[in-house]
Amino acid sequence: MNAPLLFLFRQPPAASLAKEGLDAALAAAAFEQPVQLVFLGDGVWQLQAHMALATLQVPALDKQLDALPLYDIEALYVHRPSVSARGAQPAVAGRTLNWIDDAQLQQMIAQAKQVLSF
Amino acid sequence: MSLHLLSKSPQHPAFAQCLSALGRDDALLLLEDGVYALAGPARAQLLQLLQLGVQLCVLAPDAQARGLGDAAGQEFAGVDYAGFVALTERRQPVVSWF
Repeated sequence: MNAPLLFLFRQPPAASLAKEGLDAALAAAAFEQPVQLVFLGDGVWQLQAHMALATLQVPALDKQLDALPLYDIEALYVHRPSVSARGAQPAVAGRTLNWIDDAQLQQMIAQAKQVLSF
Repeated sequence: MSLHLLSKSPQHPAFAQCLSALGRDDALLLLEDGVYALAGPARAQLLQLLQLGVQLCVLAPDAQARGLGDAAGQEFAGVDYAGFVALTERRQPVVSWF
């Protein structure tokens, strides 16, 4: 398998980079590039359960996440220390989240072809 | 052997996130406001990375512009823009923390 493109999502969902990052990941997947999505820092808030982003008049990322399997993106990697530090409660309906720690994050970076941060 | 680019000062969340992601034998380049980590308690945090074999670098023009031109010391290698480019050629992937 090709080394994957690693996407780091570090912004909360209402930030403009959040949508841009997800769009970039979906575009890469549409062109059949192997992608890995990692949520860390404030990015873990993008996976918060029971969001209603449409009420903020920002793009409904929560809905876009549901579409990921259509692009063959099955795994969502969540940085556990970021979640613990924030008291966040990430959950995506019908999906198992892949929890990673610092060591696993380092390994994913080392094995990536490119790292794109949003 | 990754290259990590840190362009924010120590109080910014990017600083701690970058430290979490640095692994053995990686390189760290301080640039833009990241050069402020040459000073204060943040410096000691970065020096601990030497135990992981991390190569510590600073973009010299950015340090000089911020009045930290003499702050690199023995532990940080000062690079100019050509050196910056050379670093990106030698190390993959490149991760930007901003």
